Amino acid sequence: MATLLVGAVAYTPNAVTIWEGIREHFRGHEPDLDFILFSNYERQVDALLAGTIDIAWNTNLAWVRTHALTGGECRALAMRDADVAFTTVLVARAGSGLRGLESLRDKRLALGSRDSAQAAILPLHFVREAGLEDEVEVIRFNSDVGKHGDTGRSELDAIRAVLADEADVAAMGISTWSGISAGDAFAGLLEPVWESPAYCHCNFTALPGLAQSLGDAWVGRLLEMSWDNPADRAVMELEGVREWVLPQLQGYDLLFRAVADQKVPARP
Amino acid sequence: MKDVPTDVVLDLVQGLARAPAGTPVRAVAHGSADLARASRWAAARGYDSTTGPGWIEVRSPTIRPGMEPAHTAIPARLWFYSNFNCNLACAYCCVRSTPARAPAALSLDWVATAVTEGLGAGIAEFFITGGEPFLHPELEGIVSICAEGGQTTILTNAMLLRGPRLEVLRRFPRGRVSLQVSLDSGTPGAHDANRGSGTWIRSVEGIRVAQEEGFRVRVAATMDDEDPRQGPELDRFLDHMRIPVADRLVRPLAHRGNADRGVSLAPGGLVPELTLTRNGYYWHPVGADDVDMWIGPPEMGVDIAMRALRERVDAQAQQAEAHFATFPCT
Repeated sequence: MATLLVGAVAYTPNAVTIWEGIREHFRGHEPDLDFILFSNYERQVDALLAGTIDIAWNTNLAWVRTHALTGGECRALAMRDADVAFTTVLVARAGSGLRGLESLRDKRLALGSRDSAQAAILPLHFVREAGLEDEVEVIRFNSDVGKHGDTGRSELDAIRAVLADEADVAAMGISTWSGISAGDAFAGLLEPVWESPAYCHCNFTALPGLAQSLGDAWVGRLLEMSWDNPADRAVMELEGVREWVLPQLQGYDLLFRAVADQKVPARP
Repeated sequence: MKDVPTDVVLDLVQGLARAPAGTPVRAVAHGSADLARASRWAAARGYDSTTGPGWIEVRSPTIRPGMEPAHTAIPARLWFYSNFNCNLACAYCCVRSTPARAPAALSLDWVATAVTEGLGAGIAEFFITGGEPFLHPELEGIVSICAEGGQTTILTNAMLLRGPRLEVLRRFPRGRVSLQVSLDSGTPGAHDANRGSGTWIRSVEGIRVAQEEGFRVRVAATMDDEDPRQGPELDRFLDHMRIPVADRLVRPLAHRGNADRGVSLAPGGLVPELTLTRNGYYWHPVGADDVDMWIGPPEMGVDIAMRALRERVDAQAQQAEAHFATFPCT
């Protein structure tokens, strides 16, 4: 039986639980799945290019980098439903009066780790597109470089800066804002002032060397994971997915433009 | 950045992101409004939470039944049987403790060595049980060593919390040390029947003393199925005692030690809880006086004992595809 080796970055201690659960889902099916955990996305991309792994569970930046390093030959196999329409949210202190990108003029914008698409690269791109690049003071919190913002740590640091009046606005992924603002925990303290257009986040990336039939069979089994199956659901909750879906590549256009514009290197 | 204030919700989010699912994460709250905000957040996220003076502890949902990974987790906890003698002679004591039993006490040196080794092996939490730990003449030193290493819980009947022993208790750090008090029923009946006449009221008094001293008190009840009223009655009483629901542990009678009936427990089907006694390392505190739960001599050290546990768990899981049950002790 063929076994496809999937790479994932261990951005949380739960990564082992998640991937053992996904491996269990594939057990007895063709192709089988095993996994390798990496400490950062750069190592994972290199491992994919070197053929050490067959599939990489990539962030959007890791996808863009793999795309650049393969001359566009790589292909996306699947993504989470949550990856299809991810957004960046800008958050300020409640009552700040800020609304929209224009209101960032002469303000201090706290960004997350420099390799976080949602909390650094794209927010800066939106600021530049709005013609505000020279009129916004950028404060960076590079607290989880290598994880592409997955840990959420740098976004929390950016929010702390806003709460401490060290910054006026913090940039973060919609998942972080949804997570911290549950139960109106920041009502009267923080408020969103702008939300970006939707873009795509993670995907499973493979190289052309992966046989189409094998890749299709693997994706087919992945898509069979069900929120209604208690065993699957436990894994899916930890991974933040309700449904695995086929990739929608146009959702990466924004990040491709931002990476080119900011000259973010394919290898840091 | 200068003096960034902590925020209880952000601290919880950050702590949970770094903790395995199901691991409790505690954060400091500045005032009741902060506590209420964090509690509201935890509830909205579906997390269990417990609050105390100036803090909240949150536990994300752990893996649901039916999907435990094949690699059964061994809790990162280390139990110490500080001594085997007790001021009580309970009818069902799992390790046969009585006032007449030889203490077989752990020394400070042993505990210090095990704590150091344990921290190196990934142990994050310590439990001190007996016998009655407050009979150990060096309990203060033992608890201090453990509390420096991690969260520490003393399992006690709380009947001795007066005089010099109360003074010892008062010197323990509140944020690091908790008590887990054995109380089997909401009225003296069942508790006194198993533990001796007049013991219930003294344990209740001990709980109140510990609470007044600012300690987190959990209550552990051993229940026989014979009286279905025992559970609801205890719950009503613990409501009255302001013991949070999350701090109540109810477990069935274990057929071990002095007990002549109860749930049969064997290492093969029991999630291990590494336990050190004067006689060595054991699979679980519930069998710390039984040879079938013995792992090895004290000299083997925590790291090797943990590895031995791991090997036995994995081997049993592979051989029998065993389903490991939990017998809660905390």
